[in-house]
Amino acid sequence: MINVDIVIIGLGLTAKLTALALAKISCKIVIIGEENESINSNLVTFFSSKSIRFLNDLGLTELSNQSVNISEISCSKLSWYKLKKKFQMNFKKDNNNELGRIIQNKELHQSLNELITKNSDISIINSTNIRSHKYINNINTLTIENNIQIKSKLILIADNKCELINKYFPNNSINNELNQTSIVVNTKVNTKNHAYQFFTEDGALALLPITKDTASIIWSLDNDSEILKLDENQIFENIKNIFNDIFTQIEFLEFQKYRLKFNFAKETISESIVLIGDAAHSLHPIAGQGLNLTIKDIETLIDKISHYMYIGYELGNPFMLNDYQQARQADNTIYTFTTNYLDKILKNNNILVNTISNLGISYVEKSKLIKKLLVRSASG
Amino acid sequence: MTEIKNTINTEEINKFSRIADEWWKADGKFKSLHKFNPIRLKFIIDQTITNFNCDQNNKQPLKGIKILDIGCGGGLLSEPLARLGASVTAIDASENNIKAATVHANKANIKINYINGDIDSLESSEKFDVVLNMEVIEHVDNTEYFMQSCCRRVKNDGLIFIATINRTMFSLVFAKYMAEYVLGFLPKGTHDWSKFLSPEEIYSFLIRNKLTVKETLGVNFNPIQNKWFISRFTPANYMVLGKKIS
Repeated sequence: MINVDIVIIGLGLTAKLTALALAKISCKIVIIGEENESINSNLVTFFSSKSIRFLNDLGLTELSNQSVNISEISCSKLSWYKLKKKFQMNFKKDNNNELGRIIQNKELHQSLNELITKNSDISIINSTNIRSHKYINNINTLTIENNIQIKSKLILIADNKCELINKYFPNNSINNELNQTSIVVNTKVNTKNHAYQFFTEDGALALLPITKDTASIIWSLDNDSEILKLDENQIFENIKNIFNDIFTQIEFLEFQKYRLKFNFAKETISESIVLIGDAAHSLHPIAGQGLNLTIKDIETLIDKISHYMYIGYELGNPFMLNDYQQARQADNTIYTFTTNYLDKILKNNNILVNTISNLGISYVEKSKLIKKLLVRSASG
Repeated sequence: MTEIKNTINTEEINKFSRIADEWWKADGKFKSLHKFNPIRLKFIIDQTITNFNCDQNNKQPLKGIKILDIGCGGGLLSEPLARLGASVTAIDASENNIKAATVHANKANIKINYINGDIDSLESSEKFDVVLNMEVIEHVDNTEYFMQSCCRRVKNDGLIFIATINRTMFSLVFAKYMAEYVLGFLPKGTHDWSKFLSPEEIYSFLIRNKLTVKETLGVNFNPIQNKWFISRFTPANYMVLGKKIS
């Protein structure tokens, strides 16, 4: 029998970040999960300046200092016919405004693992098989393999494949099968820390600098896109053409494909179970806000837990959970839906929609105030 | 219990007994009290920690603090305070309330000295570091005697917290009619407006019983956010902190 304050289900970035943040407010934590292939993925994540502060507070200063500090972000719409792009929107870093940093997921995993191993308040049980769950007298009892029982006051689900989701959150998710696949290409190129986002007719394409001389290209394509039928080299050629007026030299290193899913949970709490991160909302990767949104979830959760602990309430009490859900839901809904619609609008071929979106982008470019707000919200 | 100076109004006791089982339901009849509870608790804990110089880093910062919770109801204040280490004595005139509170505390494995009765049921010499008089005074008949008994129970340098509703036109409309008949925050007939007291009346009770007034805060409701918040605006719900001068 294991007795802890909080159980976290899942062993992804969300689970690890949450565990470390909770340990800071002296909670005892067990993580139940198995490391999957994502730990070796070549994906990168854009962290807003606010998220970077969160990572630094967890003790990841060394990692974030080594990461690329984005100097500029350019967004534009791209048409195949002309293969011409006007940079209609530019965000530049200035003294009071850091745009954000880019960290490789596998490096982040590695640094988080080191911190977790050193932390005596966190233990990991490698298992994905949850046999049963009971909630009696404000205590959760989870039974896993070998009849191991884990008692806790609160369960956080950070794995969208966890069986408990179907049991406690039936018909809860708005699942929009995106019918999209992301191509991720790591390249050798000197970006001067400049990030790009193109809205092509086949889908959004982002180039994010990883180090001084490498960058990751993420291209989200419709499953029926002609591009996906091409072989690696032909895709490289297409990407090369897009960037030929920007970079003189670009070399391709690695190539991976991911299917995209959009998932949004209407309810994120049930008794004393909370859905966090991708289990609550998975975003289209277009705006790079996925993990940033998760970090906001974690920060709110920590804030509510410490507040209710301070006033003497039991961990996992319904008042705290409602308070948490109320605080996060509006933000999550707005982000998740706008990010998905932004993509739909920007690659629409309808002339009217196109005109509006073009106008939208150039209007945003002209309006200093809106741009400032956009930079502020994107950089946290 | 003394028969002569009984401070309990029998009609009031029956009213709350009927709804005693509902105390701990988050979305039950006391849902507005539950919304309000974190705010008053934070005020009590902040001020107690400051006054007694408690160790905030301790998981039980109120260890060693003796608290009397008058009109404890279902134990909404007593339980959290006991969980933070305070030794709590809680009294309520309703037997149902005390029963409900005891059952709940036992389940949560929390030790609280629950007493069914009124303030005179306590050992006559017993005194406390903190006396809580939260949302009680407006349900009491002989306020003069009641306040005198409460203040007598405060140790030197100890604190008394009083929360009640101001007697204004604003409170008649919002705290009485809107809350009970329109918004349904409280069961109908919970309050008798004529028994509400102004902050000045509370100050006068405190001063006459040799206590100083340390703080007065308004507790207000934001209907858009569906949240209670603290301000200096006191035409309806408010809290007063008094301290006994040694």
